[in-house]
Amino acid sequence: MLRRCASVLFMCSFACSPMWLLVGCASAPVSPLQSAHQPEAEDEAALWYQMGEFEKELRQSPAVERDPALTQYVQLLVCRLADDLCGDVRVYLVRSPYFNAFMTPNGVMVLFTGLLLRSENEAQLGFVIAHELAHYRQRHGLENWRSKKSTGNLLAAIGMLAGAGNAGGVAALVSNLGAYAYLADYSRNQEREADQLGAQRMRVLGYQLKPAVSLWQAALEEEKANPRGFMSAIFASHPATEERIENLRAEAAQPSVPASMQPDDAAFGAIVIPRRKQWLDEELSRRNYAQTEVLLRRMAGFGTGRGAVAFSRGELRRMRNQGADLVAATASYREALQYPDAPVETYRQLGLVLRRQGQPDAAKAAFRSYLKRAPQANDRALIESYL
Amino acid sequence: MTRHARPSRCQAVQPWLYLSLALSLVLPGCAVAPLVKVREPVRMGSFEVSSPIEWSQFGINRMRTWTLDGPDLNHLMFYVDIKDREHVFLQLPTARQRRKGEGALYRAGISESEAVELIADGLSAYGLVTPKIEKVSPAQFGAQSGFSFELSFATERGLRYQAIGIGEIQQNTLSYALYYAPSEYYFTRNKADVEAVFRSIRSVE
Repeated sequence: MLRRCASVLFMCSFACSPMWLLVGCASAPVSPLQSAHQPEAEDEAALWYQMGEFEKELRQSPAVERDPALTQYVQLLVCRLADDLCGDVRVYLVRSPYFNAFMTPNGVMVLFTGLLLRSENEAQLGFVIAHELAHYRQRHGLENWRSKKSTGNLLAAIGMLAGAGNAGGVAALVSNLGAYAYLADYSRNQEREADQLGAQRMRVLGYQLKPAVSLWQAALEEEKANPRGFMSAIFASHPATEERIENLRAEAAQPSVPASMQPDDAAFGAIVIPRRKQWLDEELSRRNYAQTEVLLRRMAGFGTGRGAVAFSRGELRRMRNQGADLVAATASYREALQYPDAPVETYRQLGLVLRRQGQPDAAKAAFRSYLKRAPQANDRALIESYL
Repeated sequence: MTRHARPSRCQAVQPWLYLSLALSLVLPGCAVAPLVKVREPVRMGSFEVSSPIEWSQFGINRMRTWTLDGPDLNHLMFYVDIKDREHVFLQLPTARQRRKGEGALYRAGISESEAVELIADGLSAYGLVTPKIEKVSPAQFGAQSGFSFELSFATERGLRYQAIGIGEIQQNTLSYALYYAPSEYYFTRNKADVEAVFRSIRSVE
């Protein structure tokens, strides 16, 4: 609390200084970022200070994914896309099912696992990263910060920084994104520029852009399934308008350029796909069934991890339990068991839905299969009580 | 942190706590006595409990919070007689949640392990990080067959918590008690007292 107060006081004293008033009037476009950039103007230094505080909190957060293989893979991908800015960008993977990614003006890149879950391949993940890097390189955040203040929204901007600077953990991150979106409330021109620069970078690196178009469309479908569900702050700050999708399509239709490298889809497959089951569990824990259903429909077409997807579809239906959901859940669990990646809990969940449908013998058979495959299960005593 | 170092009260945030406190203030007719006295039975819904130690208490009839040092440091919650489509923390669902059945809503007919899963998802929705179900077992809940469970989670700022709970599903209603405290020091300090409270639960209808 003291720290929060100190931050606000710092910002207030700064905001009230005469020098600041002069700087605040200047909202001219800023030049693109060079590597190893350090803040030049006082207002930029203040912005970096607050974002540094935010990063300190983030670094300590239990919501930050520490899986070394995953972190290393994403960092390498970010580095390839960031080019000369690689050394300035610090990547944080946040365990949260929401579809989101953002960069702060001081080089903190936050990628939510919900984005990784929704990426079918490296090109889709890469495009979102390249887009964020383009905002960072063009210093759109700083541009907006100056613009907000010069148009009389100074107090709101200070409030935003005080909030973002004290964000901790995933929920605070998600809620503060509403505030951060204020800074990242990019104009149509800024979005167009980030899309264009992101697409150019992707093409230079040999990525196809069509997957990026389909990711954007798919995310829009999910958003439509529950427009008030706050599925993705990406849409709060980067609305995926038809115009943007069309522009991306046009970029995708451009003739290819000599690529400097090849996408590493093998690494994506080895690192990202095995972790989808855990992210799907977190997605389901939101219990926002309409959006998750749209996502699962799309993921069924991925061609990988089919057992995990079918299991999750069963879970969704079991949890929702409306109409014929339990019957459909039974079918989904049985489908999941056809695939080698079906989790062992599939047997237990199958048993639970059969039990609820008044099929005790079939339920017991499923429970026995579960206990046989998971003899050390943490709910063994409970399942045995059902037998 | 040493064994006796106490985590900052500012580290944890429990929005539902403040909601229940607010409810107890705006619904004075339903508000409960602020002190739970030693071995004096406390009625909540269709149950009664007692405790070997004193607790501070607030809440309303079916939703109670007991604490010793402040809810961030020890938090014993009771949610009783939860009916079909009511939230596991008895929060009011939005119109959409009610219509679509979204959110951590109790559904008649679910199993004990599904009830624990709902509680964990409810904690997650309140911003607690990666709630993990450590164990679910059969247990007595008063004179009835019920279930016990163990959870772990962290707050947004990284403070680790352990939780134990006990519950039952009878006549299509869910009732449970959940105790959680920081893993370091506080959880262990009052675990035995809480288990005594759990053992004291009895139905009064």
